This record gives sequence, C-alpha cells and structure tokens, in this order.
Amino acid sequence: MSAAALSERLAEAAGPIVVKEVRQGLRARVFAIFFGLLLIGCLVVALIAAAEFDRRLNAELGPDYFRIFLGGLGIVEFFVIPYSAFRAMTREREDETWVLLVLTGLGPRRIVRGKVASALAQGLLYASACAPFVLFSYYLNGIDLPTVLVALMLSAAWSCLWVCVGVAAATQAESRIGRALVHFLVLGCLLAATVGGIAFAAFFSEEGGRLLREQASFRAFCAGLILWALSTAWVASEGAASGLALLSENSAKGPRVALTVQVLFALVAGAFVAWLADGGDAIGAVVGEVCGCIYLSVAGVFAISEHDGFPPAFAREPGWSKPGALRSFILLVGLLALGTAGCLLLAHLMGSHELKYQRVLLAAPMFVVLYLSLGVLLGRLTPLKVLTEPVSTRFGVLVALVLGTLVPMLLSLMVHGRANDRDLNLLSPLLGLSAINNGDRGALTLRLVGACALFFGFLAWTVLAARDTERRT
Amino acid sequence: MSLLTVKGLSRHYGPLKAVDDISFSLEEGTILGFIGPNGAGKSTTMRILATLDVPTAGSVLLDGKSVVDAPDQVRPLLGYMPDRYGTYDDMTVLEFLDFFARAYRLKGAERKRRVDSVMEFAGLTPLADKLTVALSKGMKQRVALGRTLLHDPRLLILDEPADGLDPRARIELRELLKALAAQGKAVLISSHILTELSEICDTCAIIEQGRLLATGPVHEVLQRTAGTTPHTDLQLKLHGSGPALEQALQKAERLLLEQPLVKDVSVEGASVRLKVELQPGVAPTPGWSEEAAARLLRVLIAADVPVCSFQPRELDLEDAFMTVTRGKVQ
Repeated sequence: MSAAALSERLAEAAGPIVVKEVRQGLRARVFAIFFGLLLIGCLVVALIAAAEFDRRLNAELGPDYFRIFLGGLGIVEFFVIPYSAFRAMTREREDETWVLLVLTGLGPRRIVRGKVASALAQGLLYASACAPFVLFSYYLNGIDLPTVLVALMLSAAWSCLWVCVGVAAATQAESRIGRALVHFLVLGCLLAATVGGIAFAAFFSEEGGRLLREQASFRAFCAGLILWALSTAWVASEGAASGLALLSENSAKGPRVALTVQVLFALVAGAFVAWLADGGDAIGAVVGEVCGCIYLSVAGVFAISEHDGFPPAFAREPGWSKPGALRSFILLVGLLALGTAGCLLLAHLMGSHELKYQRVLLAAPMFVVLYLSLGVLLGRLTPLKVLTEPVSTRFGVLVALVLGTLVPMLLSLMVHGRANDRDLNLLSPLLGLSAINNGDRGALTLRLVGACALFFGFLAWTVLAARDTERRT
Repeated sequence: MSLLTVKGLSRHYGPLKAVDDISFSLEEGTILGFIGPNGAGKSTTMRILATLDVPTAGSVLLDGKSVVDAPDQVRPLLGYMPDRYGTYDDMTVLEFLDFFARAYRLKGAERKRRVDSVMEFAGLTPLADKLTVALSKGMKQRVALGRTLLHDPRLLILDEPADGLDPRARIELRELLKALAAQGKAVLISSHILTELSEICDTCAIIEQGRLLATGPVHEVLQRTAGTTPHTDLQLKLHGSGPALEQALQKAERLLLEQPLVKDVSVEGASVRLKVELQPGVAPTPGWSEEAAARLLRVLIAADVPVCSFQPRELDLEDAFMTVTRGKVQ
C-alpha cells in the first residue's frame, strides 16, 4: 500500500475533525515554537546529564533529570495543548462554523470527540519527542520503570482532563463579555493545573517510586486520580457536547448519564478500596465525600443553570432525560443523597461509629444543596434574573457563596473581634463544616444546616417546577 | 407534492412573536425570495427550516419529513448558508471543501469527484490552493455556496447571500442560483436587495413582524398588491440641469396633479413618477392607460416642459414590499 493510500485510510479512520484540527494544529506557529523549544531544551538537558553522569558514574541522577523532562513536557501537555483546544473550539463558536458542522450530520458529540482526539494526538506528538529523553533518565539511575510509567500515565490523564475542560469551557459562553470572562477563567485554571501538575510530578519523581512500592494507599490514590481525571474528562466532554447541542437535540441526557455513572463508579471503587484495606480509619470515606461534594457542587452549578422547560419535541422522552434545570436539580440532590448513603455505609464497614465523622458525612451534601438552592433563588427571582440563564444562576451561586462566607465573618469580627467564631459561621461554606465537629452542639448545628438545606431546597424546587411548566416551549 | 411545506409556523421567545403563524410551500426547481425588513423573522424562519431551531407551533415538512421530529433525515436534503460565510482562515479552498465533503461522509473517488464538480460549478478551480482568508468577499461567498452544494441537497436555504457583495459578484451569484434552479433544486433566499430578488425569484414571501403578509408567484403578488382599482404607473425624465431643471420639475408636478386621472406624483432626481388611476366605478376600456399617457404627454409638451423620456413603469418587488409592509420592527 502506498504512503498516500495509507494516510488516506488513516484520515478516513480518524474522522474529518481530527484531520482538520491536526492539520491546522501542525501548521500553527505555536506548534513549531513549542515543539522546537521542547526538543532543543530536552537535548541540551540530556547533554548536560550525560556530562554529569560521566563525571559521577554511580550517582543517582535519574529523579532530578526525570523531573526536568517531565516539567518541560508538563508545560506543553497541561497548558499549551488544553489552551489550544480551548481556542480551537472558541473560534468554532465565534465564527459559527460549528453550526455548519452540526448540519453535516456529525453531531455535537462527534465534533467534541474530534477536537479532544486531535488535541491528544498533538499531545502524543510532543510526548513522542520527549519520550527518548524520559527513558534516558532511567539510565541515569535512581528511578525505576514503573515509576516512569505511572508518572506518564498520570500526566496523560491530567492532560486529557484539562483538554476536555478547555473544550467544554469554550462551549459555555454566548456573549462577548461571557467569552472574555471564560477566557480569563480558563487561563487561570490551566495555570493552576500546570503548576499543580508539575509540582506533583516533582514530588512523584522524588518519592513516587518508594511510595508505590511500600504503600498500597498511594497506589490506590494514583489509580483513583487517573480514573477520576478520565471520568471527569468524559463528563466535561459530554458537557461540551451539550453546550454545542441545537434546540432540536437533547442536551441534558449525555452529561446526566456521565455524571451518574461517575458517582456510581466512585462508590464502587470506594467499596473496593475499603475491602482491600480491610477496615481501617473512616477518614478516607469522609475525605472522599467532602471531595465528592466539592466536585458535585461544581458540576451542580452547570446542571442547575440549564434553561427551564423543554421544547415540545421532547415531550415523549422519559422524565429523567428531558432537558430542564428542574430535572438536573433533582438528579443532583439524588446523587448527593446516594453518595452520602454510600459513604455512611463505607464508614460503617470500616468500623467507624464516631459521631463526628457521621455528622460531617451528613452535613457536607447539605451545604451543597443549601448554596445551590440559594443560587437558584437568587438567579431566578432577584434582579440577577435580568442576566438570563445560564449566567444568572451561576452568578447567583457565586453571590450566595461570597455573601455566605463574608457576612458571618464580618459579623464575627464586629461582635467577637475575630473572624472565625463558630456560632456565627455555622452556615458559612468555608468554616461551617468545622463547626459541625464542635462537640456538644454538633447535633444542633447539623439540624440547623439540615433545616436550612431542606427549606431552601424545597423553595428552589418550587421555583424550578413553576418555571418548568411555564416554559415548555 | 411540494418539496417544502410550511404550515402555521410560529416561534415565540416569551412575549415576543418572532414568527407568527406563517405558511407557504416551495416546489423543486423554483426560487422563493424571502423578503422582509430587519427583525421581521426571516432568519428565525430559515433557522427553523434548517433544523437549527425548533418552532413553538406549526409544522415544516421537507420531502414529507418533519424538520422537528426527524432532523437527522432532513439535514442531508438541505444546504444552509447563514449570513456569515463560516470559513476557516488557515485552510485553502480545496482543503475547506474536502473537509466538509469528509464531514458529509463522502469517501474516496466520490469525494474527489464531488469536490471537483462543485469547484468547477462555482468557478473556484483556479483558487483551489488559495487560503480562504486571502479571498475577496465574493469569492468567500462562492466557497460558502460550494460548501452547501457538496452533498447535493434538494433545498438550498440562503440567508442574505448577496449582502456586502459588489455588483459583479451579485450578478455572478444570480447566475449561479439560476443554474441551480435549472438543475431542479429548490432555493429559498432572503435578501434586502429587492431588485436582485425580482430578477431571479419565481415566487416570493413578504414577512413583517413575524407575520406573512403576501406569498405566491411574483406576478400574482404584484397583481394583488397593485390593488383592485385599474391604474398604471408612469415615469418621465426631464432634460436640463440646475435651477432650470428644478423649475421644470415643479412645473411638471403641478401640471400633472391638475389632471383628473393622476393620483400620485413624486419627484426623484431628474425623474417624475406618477400613478394614473381610473375613477371609482369607471370600467377600464382596452388601451385606456395608453390613451391617458398620450393625453398627459400632450399637456406637458404644450406647456413647454422639456420631456426627454416618458414610459410606463413596471411594478416590481420593491413596490409590492413598500405597499404591503408598514416599516414596523420588533
């Protein structure tokens, strides 16, 4: 088979978006610059390493140079590629070419997959340029192959996550101001992700090998991190497809399925880890749930800011898959309840009957329900509603969080001269959870948080239900 | 059976009725001009027809398939060109068309044949290796038209395709559209340039504030909008310039308004437009309008008005549009 025929076959298999994006990506100046810099940088560092190794034959130079190579690759994989993917999708939105793509029958999901796949293909190109140097660090002693492999897998999963988040973010804003805000937000997140990723890579190259060999919990943590990153990448890509969906398409189904599967999977994985650990401290379940609640509150901000109601074309769909913020809100509360029940069970299986853990496990999802409900009420009933959906509700959640944090702190400062008084910060999203652990009054505090979450949750549900009926067009 | 049938189509955004109960149909091989002021609901209607939006009420059938219930079956039958060209700046014309041909799942030799034939049809072959960013507006618009033709659709929906084009590009576009209609494709085209539409459209639909005010073959719409009272429109041009022309125009206007059959006179530059209408209840006799024109010309010549041309003026879509619409926007 000739080279032309082979490339044609490959192009057919990859799909038009991947071909186009890779072609555009490779042609872009940013690729030439970063590819060149990465290659030259790695080469120079490798020469220095070789010279140093020559001088100190038995020295363990591997971890140090592995850290440098991984750091260089991290800048490209965690920042440049996700940002390029974000820009590519943003351009598609700004020029409205995505509409033309949807009309070809490709569908939003295939467009998003194409964008993600092409970004990952470019990432693979960078990685393949860097791979010989990473392998070279193994020969510099002090680092074993499993560590190298796990580090690369973690990097790949982290990069995949941020590519999907970048693509999803590009589909969220409609207005010019919204796009500018999203742009800054994405830049900030990617910078944080890059710094965090490189810092973890540095730690991993130093301690990873030992921890992987000695601690099962660290192995479980790495596996969990990879699975979480990949499953969140899936949720984000479904969110991106939802952002690209036309009114004639069901935009809610994909993200809801992905999120539900992810939560169920996390519970099963948690149970598996608990079984492997054969009991132990229930703190793992508490940490897992608090992290899960933070994650679900972020996902929830997008879920509850969906449009109200649904077009008549979806009237025949089953209730759970019909678009509309009401159903997303109910699903979110359901997932939080499911997660809480799962974590309580896990804590019980781990042999923990400590009240403080149980209170935290119960209170964490209540805070999520409380602040998301406040966001719904602020975004749909107050003057914030002039911003229209989805901005108004997202802004509503932000306002609720800022006020919920700052007002109690200011009151506390004025009354007691210190900002962190527990009684006044009971409902604070920042300090409230620690108040739950406050010995004697913990139960009372839990009841108060529960009552508030129930009351505002019910109000939010009423508002969403009324608007859902009103706007079924 | 019509290729496209629109019945009772409505699209409301809260209290705003962007499209309000409109119905029309379109046969294969015909060009329908969609006419209306800005904000009339043209683009909204076109987006619904193109499966990009959903109606609040009503039905749209393309070849018997509902655009609401079966958008996936409808999309291969239509080619939609929005008012923005939507090209990728860093791709050549050939790459751009090849990319969309792949997106339409055309494979191998069939794809190459189709891309070549579209480039040939749209006159893009010499520009195959040019980046789209380097193309003129008219050429970009041809590329966009070429894209809509790649999958050989039966209905073309073109939203303001002539907007911003120079006269030559407009004439070339007109010829391309005529050729497409001759191939049997149905074309739905919106434009502000009514003279353009009147030259290529077989049928037209005039829309204002979301409501369809007139629809049907162009000559029928013109007849309907012309009203029931027998009348004829005339246009005369005067010779001269400066104050002399000004005086002559005023004189002609005054003289014409004194004549019993003249209903309306308006001066535009060196021309005078007038409407001659029979009095109510008077039955038109054959040749009445020519007689009236001859009589008016005699009056003007006798009064020494420097007439250099005097001819009946055909009613066009512009007249129909101005008669039917009230310039309201929402």
